[in-house]
Amino acid sequence: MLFRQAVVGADGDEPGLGGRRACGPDVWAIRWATSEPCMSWPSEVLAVTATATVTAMRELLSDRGGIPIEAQGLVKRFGATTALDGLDLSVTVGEVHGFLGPNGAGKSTTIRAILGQLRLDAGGLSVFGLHPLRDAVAIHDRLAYVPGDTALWPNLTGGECIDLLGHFNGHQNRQRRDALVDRFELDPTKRARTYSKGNRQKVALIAALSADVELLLLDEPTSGLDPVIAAEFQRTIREASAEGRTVLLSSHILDEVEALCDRVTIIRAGQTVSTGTLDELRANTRSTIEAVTAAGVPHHLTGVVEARSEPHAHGVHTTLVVTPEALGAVIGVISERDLVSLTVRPPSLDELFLEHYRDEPAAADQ
Amino acid sequence: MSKLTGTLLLVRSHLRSGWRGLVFWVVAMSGLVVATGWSITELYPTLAERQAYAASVGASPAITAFNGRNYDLTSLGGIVSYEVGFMALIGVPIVAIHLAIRFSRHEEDSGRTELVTAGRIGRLGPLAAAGVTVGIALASFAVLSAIGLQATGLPVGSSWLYTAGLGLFGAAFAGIGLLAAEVSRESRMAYFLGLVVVLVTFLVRALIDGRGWDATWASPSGWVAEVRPWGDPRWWPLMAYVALALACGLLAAAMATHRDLYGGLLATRPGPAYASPALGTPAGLAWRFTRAPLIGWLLGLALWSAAFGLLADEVTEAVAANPSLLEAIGIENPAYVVTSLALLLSGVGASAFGVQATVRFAHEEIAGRLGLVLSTRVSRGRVWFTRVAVVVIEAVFVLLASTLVLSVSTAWATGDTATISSTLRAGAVLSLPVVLIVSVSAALHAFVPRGTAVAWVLVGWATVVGLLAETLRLPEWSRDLSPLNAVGNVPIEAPDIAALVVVAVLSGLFVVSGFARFRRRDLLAG
Repeated sequence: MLFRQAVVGADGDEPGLGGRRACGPDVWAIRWATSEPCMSWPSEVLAVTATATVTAMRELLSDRGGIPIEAQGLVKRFGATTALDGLDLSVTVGEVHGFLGPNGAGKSTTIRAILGQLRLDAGGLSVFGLHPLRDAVAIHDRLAYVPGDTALWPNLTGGECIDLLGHFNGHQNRQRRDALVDRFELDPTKRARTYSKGNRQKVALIAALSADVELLLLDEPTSGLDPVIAAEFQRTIREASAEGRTVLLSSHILDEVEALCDRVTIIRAGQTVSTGTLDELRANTRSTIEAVTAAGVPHHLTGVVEARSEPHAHGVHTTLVVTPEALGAVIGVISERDLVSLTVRPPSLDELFLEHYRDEPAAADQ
Repeated sequence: MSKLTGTLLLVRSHLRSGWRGLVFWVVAMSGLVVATGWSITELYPTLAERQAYAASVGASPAITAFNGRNYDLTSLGGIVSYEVGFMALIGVPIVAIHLAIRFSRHEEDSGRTELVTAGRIGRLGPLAAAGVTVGIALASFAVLSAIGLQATGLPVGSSWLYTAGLGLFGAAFAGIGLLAAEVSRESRMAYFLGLVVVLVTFLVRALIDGRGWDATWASPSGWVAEVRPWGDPRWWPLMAYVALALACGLLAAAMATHRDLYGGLLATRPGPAYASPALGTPAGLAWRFTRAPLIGWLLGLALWSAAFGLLADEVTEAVAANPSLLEAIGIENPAYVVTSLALLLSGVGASAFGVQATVRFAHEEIAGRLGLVLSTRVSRGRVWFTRVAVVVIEAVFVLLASTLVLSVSTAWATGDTATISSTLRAGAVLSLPVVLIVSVSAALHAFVPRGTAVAWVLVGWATVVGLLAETLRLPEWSRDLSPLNAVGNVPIEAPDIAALVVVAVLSGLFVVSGFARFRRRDLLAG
C-alpha cells in the first residue's frame, strides 16, 4: 500500500506527466465511465452499438473462437537484414494490447506477418488459431487493419476510399461509418490527393473502426492526428473494447498506451524485450528513492545503481536508483538513519520505455 | 535571391538521381539513328540503288504519311532521315515530354520539390532545372548521333545539321511537356495532355504529307524534314523549334510564378461522399483504375486508325499510276501497305495500354494500397487474376476497336468493302501477341514487382522490329522476339498458325506461373 500511495504522491512532481494515472483499476474506471452514452453519437447508433452489436460480437466470439494472436520465435530476414529475430507476442480475446518499440524494431513487420503479407523464415504464428497465409481470407474476415503510413487512391474521395475498404472488408456498419465521419470531422467529398497526413489517417481509421470485426490491427494509428481527434480515437477504442473487440495497438504515444492498453509488449531489434501489464513492467524495473535523513545514507548498498547526496535544511537529501529486489532492504537501511521524509517513485512511463529501448535491456536486472 | 537561384544544384541532383533513365533514353535514341545510318550506307551504296529506292519507297504516299516528307533520297543521308522517320517523329517528342514531366511535375508529386524549395531555391529553380536537365539529354542525343553518323561516312556538316534538327524538335516538345506539367495537377494528367499533343501533331502532319498538301508548316511534326540537311538546308524550321520551345518555356515559367505548389490550372472538384458498391469488388476495382487510360488509348488509336484508313485511297491511286511500286514492295493489294503498318502500331498501342495498366498495378502494391485491399477478406490470387484478366480483355478490346475503325475507314476511302473482313481477321490474329505482352508484364509483376516496367522493352522492341527490321537487317531470331512479328505480317501474309499456338501457350504459362507466384510471395508494402 505504501508503494501505491507513493506512486500517486509522486505524480504531481513529475513535469509533463500531470494528470496521468497508473494503469490498473483507474483505467478500468475511465473505460466503463466512457462506454456510457456519449454526447456526439446519434442515439440510434448508440442503441446499435450498445445492444445489437455487443450481442452480435459476443455471439461471434463464442462461435468462432481461437486466440487472436499467438506468435512464438518469429524470424524474418530481408536479405542481410534481420527484421524479426525470435519475436514472441500473445494477444488474448478482448484485450487492448500495446505494441511498442523504437523505430525499425519490427512492429510493422510483425503486423504484416499477421496479415499474411510476409512469409516467415522461422517461428510459429497463428491468428485465431489459423495459419496467416493459408487461411488469410478466413482470418481477414474477422479483422480490420490500419497501416502506419496510409496510402490512399489519389483520385478517389475520402468517402469512396472508406467505402471501398468497407465493401472489401464486408462488415461495414453504415451508421457507425457516418457517425465516425462526423466524429473525426472528415470531409468525405475531398479527393484523397488533397488530404493531409492526418486526414488520410482518419480515412483508414474510419474504414477500420466502422467494421464489425473481432480484431483491430492498428499500426501507429494516431500519427498525424491532432489532439482533439486523437482523444476521439481513444474514446472509440474504449467503446470497441467495451464491445468485446480485441485490439493490437502499435504506438509511440505513451499517454495513449497508458490510457488504453491492458497489456503491452515491448520489442527491440526484432526481439521481445518485455511483456505484461504496465504494473508488472514497473514492478520489474528500478525505482527512484528520494529520502531526507538526519544522518547520511551510504551509497554502496546492494542493488543501488545510482546514488547522489546533497545537503538539506533537515540533514541530507539522498537520491537512489534501486533494483526491485533490493528495494525492501534499501528502505530498511534508510529508515534507520533518522528518516525525515521518503518518496519511492517507480519509473515514469517515459523512463520505463527509455530503459527498455536502450541497448542494455532492463531484462538484465530481472 | 533571384528566381533561378539553386537551378544548377537541382540539375546536379537530377543528374545524380535520374542518370539511369537519361542514359537509357539517350543511348537508345542515338543508337537507333546511328544503327539506321550504318545499315543504309551498306544497303544502298550506289546511286542507281538509291534512285530505285526513291522511285519506289520514296514515291509511296503511305510511307510518307508514316515517315514524313523525304528530300534528297539520292543521297545516303536523305534515305537515313526517311528511314528514321516514324521512330523520330513519334519517339523523340514522347521521350522529351516524358523527361520534362519526370523532372518537373513528377518530382512535385513525390513531395521532393516541397522539400527542396524549402531551401535556398528560387521560385523558378525547379522548372528551370527540369528544362536544363532535358536539354542536356537532348544535346547529348544530338551530339552522339552526329558523331555516329559522321563515323559511318556521312557528310559532317549535314550530319550535325540533321541531328541538331532532331534535338531541337525534342526541345520544342520538352517545352510542351513543361507546359503540360504546369497546367495539370499531377503527372498522369500531364502525360495525357502531352501525348494528345504528340498524336494530334503527328496525325495532322500525316494527313498533310499523305495527301501531299502544301502546308508542312501547320504541324511541328513536319518541320523536321523541312530542314533538308542533305541538300539545300533551310534554317526556318530550326528557328521555329527554338521559338516554340521558348514560348512554351516562358508560358510555363509565368504559370510557375503564379501558381501554388501542388496547384495547377486544371482544378480538382469535390466528389461523391459514398462509393458505388461496384468499387468493393476486385473486378470493379480493376475497372475503376484502368478505365481512364483505357478511354485515352481507345480514342487515340481510333483517331490513328481513322486517319490511316483515309489515306488508303491515296496509296491506291499512287499504285495505279506506278505499277512497279507494287512489285517493289511485294504486295498484292495496295491498301494493305497502310493496313499492315497501322494495324501493327495499333497492336503496339494496345500492348502499351496493357503494360501501362500492369505497371500501375505494381505501383499500387509499392504504395501500400494493394496491401490495404488484401488485408480484407479477398484472396490475393483472386485480386491478381481479376486484375490481369480485366487488363487483357481491355487490351484486346482496344485492338479490336481500332481495327474496326481502320477497316471501316479504309473501306470508306477506297470504296472496297472486301478488305473489311480481312482487316478484322488480321486484328484478331494480332490480339494473341498483345495478350502475350500483357501476360509477360503480369508475370514480371508477380516475380520481380519492382521490375514490372521492364515489360516496356518488349513494347519498344515490337515497334523497332515492326518499323525498322528491314532497314536494320535484324536477324530473323531477333525479329521473332517481338510477338507481333512472330505471328506473321498480317494481312499481307497468312498468319503463322504454329507461332500463334506457341504465343497462346506462353501467355497461359506466364499467367498461371504469375498467379502461383503472387499468391506465395511477400507483398512489398502494406
